[in-house]
Amino acid sequence: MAGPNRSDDLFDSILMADDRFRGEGYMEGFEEGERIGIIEGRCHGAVHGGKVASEVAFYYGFAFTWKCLLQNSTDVKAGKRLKTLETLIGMIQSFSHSDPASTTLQDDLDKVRSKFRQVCSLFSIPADFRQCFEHSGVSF
Amino acid sequence: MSWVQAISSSGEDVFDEYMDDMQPQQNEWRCNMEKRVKDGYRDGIEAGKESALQNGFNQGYVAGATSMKTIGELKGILSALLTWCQMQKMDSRIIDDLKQLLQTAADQEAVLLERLRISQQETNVSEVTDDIELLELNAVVQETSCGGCGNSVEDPCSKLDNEFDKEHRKKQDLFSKSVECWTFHKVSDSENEHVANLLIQSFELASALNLPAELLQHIKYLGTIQVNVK
Amino acid sequence: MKDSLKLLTRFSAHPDSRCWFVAWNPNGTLLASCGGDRAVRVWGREGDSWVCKSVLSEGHQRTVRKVAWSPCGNYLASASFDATTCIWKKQQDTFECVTTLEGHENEVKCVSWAPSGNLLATCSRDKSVWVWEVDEEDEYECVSVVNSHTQDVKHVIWHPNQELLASCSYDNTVKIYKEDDDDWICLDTLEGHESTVWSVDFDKSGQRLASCSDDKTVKIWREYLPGNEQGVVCKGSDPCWKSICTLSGFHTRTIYDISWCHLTNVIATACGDDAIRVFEEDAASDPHQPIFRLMAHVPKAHSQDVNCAAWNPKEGGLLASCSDDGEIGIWLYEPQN
Repeated sequence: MAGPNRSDDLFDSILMADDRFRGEGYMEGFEEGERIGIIEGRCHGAVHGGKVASEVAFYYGFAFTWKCLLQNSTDVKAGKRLKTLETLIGMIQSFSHSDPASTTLQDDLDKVRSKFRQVCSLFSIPADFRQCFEHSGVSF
Repeated sequence: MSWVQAISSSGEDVFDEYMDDMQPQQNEWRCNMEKRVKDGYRDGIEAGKESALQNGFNQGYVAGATSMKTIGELKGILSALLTWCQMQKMDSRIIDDLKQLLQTAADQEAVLLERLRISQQETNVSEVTDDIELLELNAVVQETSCGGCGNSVEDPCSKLDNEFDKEHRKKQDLFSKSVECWTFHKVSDSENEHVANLLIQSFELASALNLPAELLQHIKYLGTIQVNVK
Repeated sequence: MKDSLKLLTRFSAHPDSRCWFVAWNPNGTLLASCGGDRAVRVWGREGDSWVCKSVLSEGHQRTVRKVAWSPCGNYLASASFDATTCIWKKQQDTFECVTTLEGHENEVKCVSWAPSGNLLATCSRDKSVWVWEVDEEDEYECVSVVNSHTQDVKHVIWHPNQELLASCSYDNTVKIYKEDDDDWICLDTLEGHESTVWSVDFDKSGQRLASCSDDKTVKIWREYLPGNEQGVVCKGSDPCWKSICTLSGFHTRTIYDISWCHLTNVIATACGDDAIRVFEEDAASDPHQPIFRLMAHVPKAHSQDVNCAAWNPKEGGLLASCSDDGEIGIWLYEPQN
């Protein structure tokens, strides 16, 4: 009954199979790619986020500790130093690690770094002292 | 901070040609269809990867940031104490102790970072290998299915779909397993213990220095967070 | 035209080295120079000749790139590639290094004293501009580190009568800074040059700024306040700067320095083509679209790159220049009508 159409269908099916197989492969590949992408991206992101967070947290620990140490100081210089420390602490407290795609992240990070360099200058500490401890066995 | 900014290398070529391994007696149609699947697969994998990288980067970024905060802050506290003690011209023993502690913290930080880096390489390599193996499996599936497709082209294809689904599930298992591994890498108990020990030592040293209560409280608080994460 | 800039004298200031920069003291009697020989020299006039009054050689380990006098004339600051800035105190004819400012990561390119004498600015290849505060006891404290440029910062200069600072950079821009809540922030970025901006200088009023660049042009910028009649759009309540004139076609190489005379209003340029040029504003031209005319051009002013040109602050038309050939030239500009 469907005799004449049957061979047409078959012919169309063969032609369509070309796209079909390719499409199947694409879908399959896409999903696989998504998985790889997620994992790869996540791992690179973890290293990157870890470095940035460690650096910023370092500044925070440093500033917070000095703030505590200076709180009751009678030194004439203490006032200005405390103020700068508090500015740095404030900047870090409003620094967010939750959105790495944020357009202001790099800018905020640069500002925190600049403020830390100012703190170092006020305390007469070389700003690169942080690097002294990056490798094992190097003394202060 | 975008994916592209953070990673300069574009990554390895995920897919290789396997046509050489094919048996010469296979008919041309089958060969072509398999090539179509592979072409599609290759394009798909690139597109899929591209579409997911930034998303993955964002997720990882947040997790990595959380896991490195404590050690970074501890290093900052110890550095401040060290500079303070040096300015006060304190007993050289205390200064040496502080230096030692700071160095240990820095080494621990390097270990944690390396852990994040290694987990990245492991997952990448294993995932890629899995893909290639599974694809070969698919090629076999196709061959057997198409073998008896004399009067219908619909059947083998739907059969192919089923086989694909099966492979999906397999890969999904693999996927979740690797994610689990990754999470474990991130907060392994032994690493946490190291950091906790460092915090205890720091707290003891700080207590001996008669530092302001607020600061001691703060170091203690850092310790609590660490325990909570664990 | 060429006769309008006359050479008065020429002398070797940093033999076998480059002379990078010269600066007149506020009352115009002394000229400080610095060079690749790591030394700062102070020169004074005796009759028709210039003699070296002091040599400041102990302060720096590397090239001294710029020098600046404090507004009171009792201090000299020197910026060096050794990443430090030295502050020298004048005692009779000798100078003593009283402070070394550290903090920049690498080469300090320029130093400038604010008109009040209480603030000092430095800039560096590390892309940052630092503002320092000076107290009564000669103590210097950093009040701000500004990372606004994306490349090496070549020059910093203070506004002549407001607490505003200008800097220019390898990133092709000029930036203007103001104090904001204990910090210094960039309030405007002047874009237009197509290559490194080597130097900037304000006119006497501070309303206009001249910049010179590796793109072989000079640009004149004008300050516009919010709500100005000319319809120049400003961001918020801050003034903004707009390029109102470009001098192109006059220079054949990089223009390294520019000096805007606060007595005569003429502009001198120091160029990599070994020439010195003097430009004068056409008094009849529209102040919002001024025309500057080349009034003097000395092609072989020096045997190598001219690195600096500086108008004497008290004697109108007296110009000092210095060059890669290690020499200083003293010139007199006399407009010919």
